[in-house]
Amino acid sequence: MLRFLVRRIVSALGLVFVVSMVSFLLIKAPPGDYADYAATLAQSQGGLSYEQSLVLKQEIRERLGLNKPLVEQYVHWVEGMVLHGDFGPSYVFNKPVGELINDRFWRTLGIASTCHVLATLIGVGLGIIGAVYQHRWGDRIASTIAFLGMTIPRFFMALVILYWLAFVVGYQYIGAIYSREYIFAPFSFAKLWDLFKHVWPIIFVAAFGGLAYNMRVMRGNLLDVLRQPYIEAARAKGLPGSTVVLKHAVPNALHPLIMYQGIAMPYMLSGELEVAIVLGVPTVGPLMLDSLYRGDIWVTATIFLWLSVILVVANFFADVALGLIDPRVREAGSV
Amino acid sequence: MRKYFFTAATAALLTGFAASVSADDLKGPIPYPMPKQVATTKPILVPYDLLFHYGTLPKYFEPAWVSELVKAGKLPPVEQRLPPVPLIVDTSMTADGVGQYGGTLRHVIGGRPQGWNWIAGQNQGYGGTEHSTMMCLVRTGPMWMLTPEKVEPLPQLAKSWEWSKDGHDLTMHLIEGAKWSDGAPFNADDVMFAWDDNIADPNVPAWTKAGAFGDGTSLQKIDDNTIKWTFKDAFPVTTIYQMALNNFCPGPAHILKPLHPKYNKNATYDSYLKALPPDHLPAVTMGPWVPVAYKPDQIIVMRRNPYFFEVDDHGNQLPYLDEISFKLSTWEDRTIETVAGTADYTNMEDPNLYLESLKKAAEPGFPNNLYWSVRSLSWRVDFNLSTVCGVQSDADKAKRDLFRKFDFRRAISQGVDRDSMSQSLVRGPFVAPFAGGLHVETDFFKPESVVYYPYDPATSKALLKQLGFQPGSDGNLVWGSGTLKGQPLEFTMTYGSHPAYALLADSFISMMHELGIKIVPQPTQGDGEQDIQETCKWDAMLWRGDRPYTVPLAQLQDLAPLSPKAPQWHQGTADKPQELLPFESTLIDILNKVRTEPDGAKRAALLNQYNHVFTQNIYTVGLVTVPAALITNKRFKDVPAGAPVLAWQWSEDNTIRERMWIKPEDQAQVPELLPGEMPGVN
Repeated sequence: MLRFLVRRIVSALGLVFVVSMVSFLLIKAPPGDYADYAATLAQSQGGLSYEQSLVLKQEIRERLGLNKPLVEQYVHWVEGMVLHGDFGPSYVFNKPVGELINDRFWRTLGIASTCHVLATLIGVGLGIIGAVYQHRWGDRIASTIAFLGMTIPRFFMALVILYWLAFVVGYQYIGAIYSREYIFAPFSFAKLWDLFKHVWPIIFVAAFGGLAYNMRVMRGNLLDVLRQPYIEAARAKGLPGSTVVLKHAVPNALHPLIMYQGIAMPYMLSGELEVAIVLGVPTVGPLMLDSLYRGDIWVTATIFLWLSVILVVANFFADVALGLIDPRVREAGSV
Repeated sequence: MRKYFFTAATAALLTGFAASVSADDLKGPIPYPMPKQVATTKPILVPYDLLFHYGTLPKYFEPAWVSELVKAGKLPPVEQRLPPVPLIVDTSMTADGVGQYGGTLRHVIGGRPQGWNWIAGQNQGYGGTEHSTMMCLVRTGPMWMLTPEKVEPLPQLAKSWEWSKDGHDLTMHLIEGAKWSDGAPFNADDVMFAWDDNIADPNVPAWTKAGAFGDGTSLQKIDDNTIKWTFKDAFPVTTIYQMALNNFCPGPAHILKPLHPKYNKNATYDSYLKALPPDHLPAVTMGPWVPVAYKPDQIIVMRRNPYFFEVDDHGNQLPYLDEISFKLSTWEDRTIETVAGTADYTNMEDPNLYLESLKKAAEPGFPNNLYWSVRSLSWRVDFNLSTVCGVQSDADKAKRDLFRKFDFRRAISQGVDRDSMSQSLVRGPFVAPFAGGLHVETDFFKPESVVYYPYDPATSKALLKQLGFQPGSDGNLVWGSGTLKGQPLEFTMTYGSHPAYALLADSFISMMHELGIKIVPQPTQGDGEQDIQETCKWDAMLWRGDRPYTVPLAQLQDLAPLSPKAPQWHQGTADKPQELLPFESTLIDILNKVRTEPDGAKRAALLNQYNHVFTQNIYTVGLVTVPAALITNKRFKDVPAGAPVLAWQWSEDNTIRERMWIKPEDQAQVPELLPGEMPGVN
């Protein structure tokens, strides 16, 4: 088991390294950098002439090292991270990237975790209904919900909700996590309720998209389990139907879903990012997109890195869990 | 030999054919179809000396809660906080008259503050933040509301100025006895620190560069309240426009000097440029409001500056509003929230939102007033005219030579159906055809200055034929001669990521397709088009024109080849200047006259002359011009109708927000976030 763990850790670290390098190259590939962004602003906001803006660009590039070779920039960034825990500066925000992302990361993780829990619970619940009432109305309704969740793109659903809330309903709680009057207020249930009023559209859209897979897997597994002889035996013993399903069938149908949780969390996280971008809620998503637009490269690169770490860590735990319950996986991993 | 013979024969035939295309076959030019103004309310214009002037009044007033702080000994009396001669702002020619104190204004912005060291180039998030804190030598925003006899920069930190007889010296008299928001005195040392240690210091990325004030320009302190500019040219009057927001707005030297490496051995330029981050509060400003609270990604709150140097003409210290807040969100959210009623103020400049917002405005209970202003935005297609920058191959050279031909630019221009394009952008009367050049609803513009080539594909096709292009097998035009002979007439068009760009690019590409010209779209993200533009490695570029084309005096340098890197569609290099087209020399002459012409009426005439030459030669291919709208919540009084979203400045300066107010009975609709808080006091 130890060799298995070591192998998984080494390959996970390698993967993170490769992801960081590829994402850095991708970020640098399109034309435009922070100097272009700053010079554009100086032109439009400050009335700087085009020629003067070119001078400003060169000064910014020299000062920030943006004109150095790509390899040098990348190595400098990795060196800062490994040796000093420094993810680089955010040029736009004029503060360290670690501090900047930290402000938003826990918010993002909290919302994504909520989506994850809800998507799992509701998805499993609908899966049970679908299996128990197979080919009946309960199954049809649950399957329709799952079908819609799987097929409607999350960004589209977010756009529709945004339009409906902003232009049809005139909803007052969009584009923030708190109303102005609660931002400086100490914690209270009223503040928590205000938070919910702002984030429910994200939770709704991301969880709706996420529950579909849980529902389909749970339904399929449960149908298989319900056909097993020991279930027939339980029924033959005269146990009530609900006891047979919930006590004997459901626990045996959950295994694949538990394994799925390892990759579901990154899926939820990306869902949260996508929806938050559309709705303009200040979590990591809009920050990532804005940093791409503004050439704030270390912010983008660090977010990509963190997301890949989460994906790798979640998969690592899923692998370990699988190794623990399945000796064949363990043995194969230690070869 | 045979090959050359046939080539020569074909060329001769083509030339013969071309000669057969007479001027009668070409339609236009015609008088410019001047669009009807969208703005329905006539602005109230105010004489220069009445709008802002320095003077004294018998008595000064302040909000009651501020008087309580004075009584408690926490603040000096208002007479001592104000300068002996404050800046008096007129209220006699406003729609709602003298204001009343109290209330809050809720902004939403898409930017994020870098900090409060603005003189070193830090931004504060835009969208009105800068206009709340940065006070400059002169003020240009409200110039749009001046009566025509004198439209010049208004006083701000410089209360007056005069030219020497020879026109090489400009002496400016600064406001006397004014104080920063922490009570420290403001004087010429603040101005000199801004110039010597920021604008003229190459290590500091200030909002402007010393070169923007003219080569060889110097500034010196005469005494605590007087500074003197010395210029190489005589009467460079347009330089005064460079002394407004965001260019020459001094920061507090008493705070910043100890942080600057010149005065502190332990400081570095890196530490100086990062000094005064957003959470370093309260910030120290000369503006009407002072940043006092900040939550990253959520909000900035500013409260009234007890030392602000402006009063209304009844002696009330401004601003009327006690508080102003900036929710940190997205630019799109700014309009969405204002329309929904959760914010108070937006510049609606995204044509995609016009119809939806108008529909909402027609509903009963709509919480806002919507003020359309002049058409101050335009889109155009620039063709790269440079023969010395970014030319990498014979093909590039051939294309640049083509772009430099007037007949080609005319063919393109007359192939653009601007009416259809306008309607495809926004249905209705908002968008209008644009011939290129200067914007059509400015105070100096005369429609007869425009040489307008109307939509006529037949003319375009005739011109292209005359240039030697023939239809290929697929119907697209092919080059008839030169290095690209037999190859399709094809070029790239670079454009930005905003939805309006994509929509206009699609229209333009399909219209060019009708002429047989293939355009390869090159959309960019972020500010990628800036990067491409700088390298000169582009054929055509779809571009939005704003400030320089509405108020050309603000950015004259961008309008003709006055330097090797301007205009952006005809750049030279450091060692090879542009090869000028004949009409470009005329444009340069005109702009040089504009730069040193003290008479406003003569400057206006010169600008119309410039526009005539520009549009006659189709220097760039204009597409459409659009208005923008200011949306403010109905609680606010004295929002000047017709205030442009963007002219000399953005609307946040144009509306004179320190003069906007809310009736006491309406103030409770939106409570202040930090009532009673006074920067530096509690």
